[in-house]
Amino acid sequence: MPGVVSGHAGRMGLAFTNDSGERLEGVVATALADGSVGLELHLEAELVPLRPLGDVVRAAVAARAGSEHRLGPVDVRFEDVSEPDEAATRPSA
Amino acid sequence: MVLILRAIARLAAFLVLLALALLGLVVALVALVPSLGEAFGLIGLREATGAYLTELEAPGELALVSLLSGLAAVLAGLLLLVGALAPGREPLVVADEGSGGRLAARRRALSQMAESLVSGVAGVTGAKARVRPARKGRGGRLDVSASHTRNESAEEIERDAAAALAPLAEGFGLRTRVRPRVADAGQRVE
Repeated sequence: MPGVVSGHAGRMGLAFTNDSGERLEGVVATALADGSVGLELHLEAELVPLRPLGDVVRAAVAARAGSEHRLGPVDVRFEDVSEPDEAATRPSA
Repeated sequence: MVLILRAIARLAAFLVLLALALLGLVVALVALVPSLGEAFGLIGLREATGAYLTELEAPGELALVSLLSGLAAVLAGLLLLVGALAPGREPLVVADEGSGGRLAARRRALSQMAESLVSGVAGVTGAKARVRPARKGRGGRLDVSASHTRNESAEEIERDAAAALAPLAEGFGLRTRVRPRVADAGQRVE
């Protein structure tokens, strides 16, 4: 998604989900009491307006949510920002 | 580290409270029925601790061990205090919160963003930003120190920097304050 560099595991490195052996950094899904699934997205963004980017991310998540689970609240947290060239030169984890 | 200290502090608090409750129960029972003092062995305990305390007052190996134990207890107490009082979560700046979720950012991300925006203002040689989230709800404060060349006036820098920060400040409900200052010799406009 334009403006998003990557998921970010957070300050403590605890914001991730293991999905079929794959580690999804920056994604935390929680089953809520009302049967829906709440999402926390921890992101590293480029130097772009964050508020509109957050709205775009939430809208994109809502649009792509499957019908298997009802989507609950989607929290978007910007953990860090980086210059575009800084993000490009960073080794992938 | 803080998470571990927090867990230890909670466990220690529970155990200490449990021990205090039991001790209080014993003291209350002994106070009500003095003959129970013998049953709980309190008489013998007084004699044993009396001898120990007498030995403790005199210089020697026991006094040194007790001193070291006391220092270790103080250190353990300080660590438990850190675990009990250290904030578990870094305060976030909240832009929007509702039933659909929350949009927030860490202070560091917003500081970097603000510094980048102000550094792009004509005449600014460098910027340092500090973000303080509101204690409750949305928004917070954004203080930016902007270094500029002597050719630019402080008023111009303040106005232009505030304009550059406006989208960020409005998006996150931040009250902005820009402090212009003339750059040190050797600093150049980037």
